[in-house]
Amino acid sequence: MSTIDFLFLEQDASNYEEAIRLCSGSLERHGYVKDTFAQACLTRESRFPTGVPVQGGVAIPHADNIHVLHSCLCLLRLVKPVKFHRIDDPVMTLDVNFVVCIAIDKSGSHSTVLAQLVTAFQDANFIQALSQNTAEKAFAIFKERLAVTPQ
Amino acid sequence: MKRVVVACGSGVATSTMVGELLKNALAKRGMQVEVKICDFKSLSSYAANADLLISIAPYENVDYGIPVVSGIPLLTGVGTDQTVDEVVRVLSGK
Repeated sequence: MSTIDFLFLEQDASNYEEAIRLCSGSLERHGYVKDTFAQACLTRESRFPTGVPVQGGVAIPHADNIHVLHSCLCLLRLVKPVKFHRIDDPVMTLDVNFVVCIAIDKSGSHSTVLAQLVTAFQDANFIQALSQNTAEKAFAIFKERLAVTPQ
Repeated sequence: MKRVVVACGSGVATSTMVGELLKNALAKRGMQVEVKICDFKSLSSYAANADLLISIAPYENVDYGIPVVSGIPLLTGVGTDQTVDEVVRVLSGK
């Protein structure tokens, strides 16, 4: 059965490119993606930005599954917000506090997790819980909310 | 069953999410639809067999010969109900 894993980071980034590199670097070191993933994410982001204007600002960079070895969501909690271009209006930017770098492999059966991800980030209480707790607690909350219920 | 195609830049994560959210929202209203996911490059062939296009990119003004509804509200949670209303209206031909 295909599964989805989680990685968590809390770091500072000076711009969105660096934020994406932090996530993709971690995904690569842990064997979830190929070394082509980072550039593919950056290229995609420049053409089709992923800053979602929800409270707290979330970006969901991702790339084609040919760059992915095993599915994983990498959550980066930024120490200071960085600007991403908006998914609904690429000319505009928004302050992003959370980056979820999404690596989905060819089995691609993760629509439930992805739908849960968006639903979770539309919930102001969830964002608040992620912001206000220690990194360790915040990451536990994230994982609990996103973990797929076994069939 | 009505067929909906959801398109985004790479046809992977964003469109998959929006497709799932739309399916859930429509199921709550008792409407079953078939959802296909694709990227903009392969959209013309998918659109030929679909009743509605959900687009997740702005400034996409190509005419694919089927109605288009923006999927962005499903991602942001702002205006979701209106978007689902619009989808139901288009699919039921009212």
